[in-house]
Amino acid sequence: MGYITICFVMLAFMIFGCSPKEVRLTPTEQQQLKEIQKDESLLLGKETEKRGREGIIIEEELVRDSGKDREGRDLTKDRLFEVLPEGELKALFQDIRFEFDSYSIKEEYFKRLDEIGAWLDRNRGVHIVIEGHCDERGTVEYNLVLGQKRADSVKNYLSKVGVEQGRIRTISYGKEMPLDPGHNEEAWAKNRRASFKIEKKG
Amino acid sequence: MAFTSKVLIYLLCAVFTFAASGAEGKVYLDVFGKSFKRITIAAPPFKSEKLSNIPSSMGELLAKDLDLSGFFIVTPPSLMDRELTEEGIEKQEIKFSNWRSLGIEILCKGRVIEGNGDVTLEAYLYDTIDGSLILAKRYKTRREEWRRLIHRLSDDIMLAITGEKGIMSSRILFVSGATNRKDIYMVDIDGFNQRKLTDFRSITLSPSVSPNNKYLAYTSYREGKPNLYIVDMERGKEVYVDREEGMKTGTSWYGGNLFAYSHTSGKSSTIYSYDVEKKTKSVIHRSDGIATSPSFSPDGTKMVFVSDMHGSPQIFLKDLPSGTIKRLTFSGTYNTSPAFSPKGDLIAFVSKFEGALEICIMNSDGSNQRVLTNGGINDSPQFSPCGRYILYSSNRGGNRYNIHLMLFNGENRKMLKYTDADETQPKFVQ
Repeated sequence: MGYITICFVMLAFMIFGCSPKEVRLTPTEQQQLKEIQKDESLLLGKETEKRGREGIIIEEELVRDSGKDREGRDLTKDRLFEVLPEGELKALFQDIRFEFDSYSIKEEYFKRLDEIGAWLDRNRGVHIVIEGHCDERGTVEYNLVLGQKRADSVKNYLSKVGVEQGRIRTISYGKEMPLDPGHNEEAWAKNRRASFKIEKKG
Repeated sequence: MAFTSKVLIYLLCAVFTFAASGAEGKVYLDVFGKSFKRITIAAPPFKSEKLSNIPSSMGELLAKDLDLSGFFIVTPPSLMDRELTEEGIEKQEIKFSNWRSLGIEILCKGRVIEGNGDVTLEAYLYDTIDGSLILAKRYKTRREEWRRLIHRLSDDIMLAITGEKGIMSSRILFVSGATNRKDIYMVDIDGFNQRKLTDFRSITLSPSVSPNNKYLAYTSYREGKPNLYIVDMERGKEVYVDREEGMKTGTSWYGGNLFAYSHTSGKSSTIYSYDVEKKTKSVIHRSDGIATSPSFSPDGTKMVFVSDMHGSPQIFLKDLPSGTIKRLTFSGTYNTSPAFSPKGDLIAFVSKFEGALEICIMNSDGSNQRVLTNGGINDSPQFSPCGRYILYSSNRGGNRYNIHLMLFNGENRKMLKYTDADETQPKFVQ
């Protein structure tokens, strides 16, 4: 929670503190921003939060009244986040699930990945981390590698639809971080996944 | 009375042998192609002039070690009457016919001397058939180290009887911890002297120790992503770190100073060899998809590894001088985690069956594949330095993973539980 919260505090600080005359959010947007802050599914894992060694690198100017800078250039592309209605961002970045021992992306996810690609194209300051995970029914070491292939499959798809590779990091956790600790097909299906974390502005 | 008690003992022995055979499936032990019967051994209480609990604890530990070895049927103390336990330890004092009549083939006698903070054990091993002395040794150590002394004795008994040293003086390297707090531990095989080698409040796994015990290698998430580290254990200094994006894992040592691991990122996987003394890195295998878990023949010319080049994970053997690759596993859709035996004749691996992952073994050409375990999730098999034992992790008998030990033919399976958390990826350390 802390990491992204700090990001948003910084964001708010920059919005309201640094350049109050230039950047303003409408009350609705502020409300939506708060909603995103609450949305823990998009926050970096606790591991990363505690380390926090990469620091916060949010430097670019944010949304302005007109969406244009003094020279009239369109600045909307430099927004940190495109503010989506409640729940939509969460839905967009839901886990991509995989079949047992497979790292090919199922067709049912193509549309959503296209949308993620489009969203990332509209929000060029956003970097993402794709985490690859496996279920418990595999060997530890092979799963570490399989998780990497799952994350890389998603990264590969997104880069094919135009997202710069440098904006995507991949991390495999193998079967070390199950979403559901159960020992049944329902749990395993949830655990065979690639999940998204929104990382930072580059 | 003496007659009836002896008959009773005979009967008990018979029942005992029968029970043991029923539990393990076979009494005969296939050792490198030969068949050996389990040997009945008796170790009556060690003589001692001092009133101390060390001699009796030593006797208990020796019985435990011999039982864990899988090569012996240890005669329970209750089967030895007063006449037998009070008998002297010198050859001329022993009535071998009495021991023979109990079905005991090997007799271990000893004397414990304590003083000046030291403990000395004189041990004699006799063959009851002809009363010949197989082993006569004096062991001395500091009093608090008496356990090591017994482990040394049981390893020597193994050497004398089976021609190869036992494993009871070995240490075990393993991973243990909660879901996202895993660290590397080292422990004596009997559970004593447990040490935590890493403490990163993160996930640290896939450990291996160099043959000279100088370096520890592992994959750790302590910097936020899985990086590969080789650490000088004495100086606690990192001597090599791979921080490239992607998964770096599957650590294994060969040919003295050579260390191998796999790196998977993007389209392909690479298996690297790193010379920890010369500090040079070379590519020994690169292919699309997955290639991981390298393990080497003792002469370092052959590498067994896992690849999904034919769709599902299968085990392949690469002849390093020629570069020829041969597929070894064809049955099933999931064969992983290969480990070469230290003699190079066998490869242990994991195969997926209906709902279970089983430890299997095959000849190094892929022939004669056999399943050794029976249900549950069994993982990460590793041979002992003598090649007769396999360590592995298993969740059989509960939801937790524990370290298990068995003979390489699947017999004498024992759970070695060291911590209260999941224990995985065990390896022998000499």
